[in-house]
Amino acid sequence: MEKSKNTLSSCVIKSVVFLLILALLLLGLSYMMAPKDNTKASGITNPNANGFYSEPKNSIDIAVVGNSDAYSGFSPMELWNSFGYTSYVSAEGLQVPAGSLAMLKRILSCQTPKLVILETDGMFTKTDASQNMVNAFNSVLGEPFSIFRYHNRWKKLKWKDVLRKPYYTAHCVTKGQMLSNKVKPYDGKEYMVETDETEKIPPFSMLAVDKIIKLCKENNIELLLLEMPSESSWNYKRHNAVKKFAKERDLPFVDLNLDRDRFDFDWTTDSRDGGNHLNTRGARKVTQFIGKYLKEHYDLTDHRGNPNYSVWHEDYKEYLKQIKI
Amino acid sequence: MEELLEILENLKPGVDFPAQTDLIEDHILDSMSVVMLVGELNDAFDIEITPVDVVPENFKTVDAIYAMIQRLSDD
Amino acid sequence: MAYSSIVYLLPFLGAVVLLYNGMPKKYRWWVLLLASYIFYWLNSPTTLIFLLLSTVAVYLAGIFLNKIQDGFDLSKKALDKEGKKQLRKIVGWQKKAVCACTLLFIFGLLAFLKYYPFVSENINQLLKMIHLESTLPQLKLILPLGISYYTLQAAGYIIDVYRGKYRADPHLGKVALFLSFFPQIVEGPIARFDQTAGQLMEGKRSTYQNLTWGAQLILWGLFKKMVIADRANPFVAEVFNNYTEQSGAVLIMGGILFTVQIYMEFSGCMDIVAGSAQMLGIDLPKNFARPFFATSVNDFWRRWHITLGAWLRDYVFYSVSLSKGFAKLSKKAKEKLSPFLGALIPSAAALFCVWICNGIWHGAGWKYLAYGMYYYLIMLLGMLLEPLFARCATAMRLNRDGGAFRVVRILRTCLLVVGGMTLFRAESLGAFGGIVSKVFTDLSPQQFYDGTLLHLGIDGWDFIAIAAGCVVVLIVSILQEKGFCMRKKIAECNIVLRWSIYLSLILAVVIFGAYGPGYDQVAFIYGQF
Repeated sequence: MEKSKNTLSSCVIKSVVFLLILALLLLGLSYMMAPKDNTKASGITNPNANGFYSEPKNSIDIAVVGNSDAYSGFSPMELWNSFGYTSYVSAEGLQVPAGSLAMLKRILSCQTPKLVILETDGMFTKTDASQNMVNAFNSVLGEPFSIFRYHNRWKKLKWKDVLRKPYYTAHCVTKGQMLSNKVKPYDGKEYMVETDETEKIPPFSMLAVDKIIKLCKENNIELLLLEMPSESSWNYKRHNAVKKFAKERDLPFVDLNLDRDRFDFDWTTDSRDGGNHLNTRGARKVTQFIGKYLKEHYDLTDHRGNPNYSVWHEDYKEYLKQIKI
Repeated sequence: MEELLEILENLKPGVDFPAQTDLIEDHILDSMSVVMLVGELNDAFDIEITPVDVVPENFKTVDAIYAMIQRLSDD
Repeated sequence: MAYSSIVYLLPFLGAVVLLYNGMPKKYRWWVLLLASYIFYWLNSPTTLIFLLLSTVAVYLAGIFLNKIQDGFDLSKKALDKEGKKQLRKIVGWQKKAVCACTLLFIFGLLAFLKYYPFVSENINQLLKMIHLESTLPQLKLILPLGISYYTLQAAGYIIDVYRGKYRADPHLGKVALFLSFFPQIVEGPIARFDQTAGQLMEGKRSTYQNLTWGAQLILWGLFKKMVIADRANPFVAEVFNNYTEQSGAVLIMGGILFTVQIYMEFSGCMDIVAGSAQMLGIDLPKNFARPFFATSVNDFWRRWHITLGAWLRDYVFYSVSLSKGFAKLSKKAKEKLSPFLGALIPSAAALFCVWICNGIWHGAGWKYLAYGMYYYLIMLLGMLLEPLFARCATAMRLNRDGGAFRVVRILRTCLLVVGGMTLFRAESLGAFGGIVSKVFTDLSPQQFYDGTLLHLGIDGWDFIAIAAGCVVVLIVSILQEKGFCMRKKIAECNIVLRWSIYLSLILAVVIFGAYGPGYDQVAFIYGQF
């Protein structure tokens, strides 16, 4: 056999070195092309969800993640005013558990929440194999290799931004909540019809939630599974599935679609789009109820008297102006 | 062989056929020329060139065409 | 699982390459066959049955043809010349019957699944016009993945066996793999049995060069699709989906960008596919050879979708033009009219068949038929006027192959092609008519430079990226036209330059690729045929 200049070992070494150089270049480019601020103008995705970067370090005690149901239905300002708990909603439209995991990791880089609330209907979002691979990558290496998310910024890159460190200045008054005063009632039939059946949770979602559980344990964070009232994305089968899931992992699960009278929920006044998302009125009711639940079950600090948190009072005044109810 | 060269020259005057190395690749014979040539060859040599024979290898050079004609005459 | 998706490129292809090389030589083709069926199953599970049906049909037909031939060879020894002639005739009819029935079956499947909706709709309309009640049911049919491609490969196989080019293969696995090989199944290239079947069964181990050159070709294809084609897509979609609201200038730009898009995407896909096969040591036939350097429409079709053109030439054009019927007709024409017409008539008739087939192969619709006829008429005109052009050129002492004139011919061809592509992309034949009339009645040339073009789905930066990408492809194409093999040339450079080129290409795809938030994944255009 003739000796080729490409022996197995030299091929392997060449390939490994090539990939290392590629990885380093991608890391460098990720740093250069990432947005250096978290304002809307900076090009960051979902500025509302990423506003926690500019909150004072370690000031957020509750992190809420999930999809649009979470940012429509959870109101940090209501929670603040009635209970003094500091929270931030880092939810994104169609966020799946892998996305929640990635978001949590980002939150933990500058905040130390005591509790994470995960909105659960994102667990049932169907994703194909390619999306799962991308999501898995993003949840593990999405931060250092942010170039895959931000590569389109090549069009808007400003040279002075390229090499400087990120400095976050955005101020989100609502702490991630999306306000909507629109009222579009849902007046259809009852959707929480009791049954013994369960809907299968995609295995990839379960894996991602298990990783969230692990992350919380490692950081001494409590985890609460929560489902906002949502006629279009919830039903009893899903309730059973998540209840089983939570029980197996010894996690609390609060389903706000059941016994909605507990907090005077009214589908004719509390939804902005006919049964999918809540409006500001709905969010207030729901958050008041959640606050009571948290007070009973968790040991969270009431910061209302603390002068370091005076900005929250100002923000609440601004919030009141915007909700008009 | 002479008859073949005569036919080729009538088809495409001015081309030095014996000197060509690839009549198909160099687009000297396109599909329509091939059809014309096949008709002429069938008549002149009393053979039957079928689509199976119409492959680049058989029409690449004058020698290739001649070899094909010989083969088909013997059948 | 699109060829440009992460799932295909990393886990699927990677696993196949690893498994293929990990297996002992005689089992390697099993890996390819399994991978191909798994690929088919993952993409189109409900229609796998049709692939199996066509595979078994041509396999059995081939065996049958072998038997008939063997029977003939045995019997003819005992016969005299007259007897042999008789037997040959009978055997000829038997073989023709087998071949014809098989072709009827596989093309019947294709025709039914692909054209039933179109044909039934038109028949219903016809019946309505003459006030007849009966309507054909409108069935909702799923088109099996790759049926337009594997049916042609299967037909080619059985016709070759019928013509005696080679014997049918007794190995069912070989025939099955030939028809289902996963890099080819979605968009081709359309190969012949004696081109790829042997290679597929050989089980050659992948060499370092196979792996690296294959990967580089895949990278090049990704660059073309993701940086250029997918980036142009929003503009093309916006213009063609709302063509009634656009001016002539915008529509022209739409036609040009669509031509760019479809070339970059189709040839890019072919690169990915060929690169995938190369990583497994398999050489697939080329489908593109710098089509936009063509000096005539005929030349264009020898450089664009080469394997389809070759298939139509070998199985339709020559079959028709060299058939006995046409030979007689041509002889009569030569005697009665002129030698020129003697050759023209069978060629023109055969060409007509080719272009009808080409048109409807692309799709069931009047627009596709018109597409075929568009090119047929251009070519027919070219054939008719050729003697006139030749005489003018000699009279004016023009060298038609000379530099400046060649550029003119290339530009003219590009213009004709853009026209054809506009028809191809238009919603319907009627829409194309509307577009053409708009170009003449409402050109608004100022829209070429007043910024209108920057608000139709893409912005100025996108245009710059597309243009830059095209320039890169152009430079590579010029080098390839001169005969350079790019990968070989680059491999001969020093390691710093080599790696810089590869890394730049990868980074170009990562940064300038049209993927991620804000972009819909663009389906492969030729995968729908």
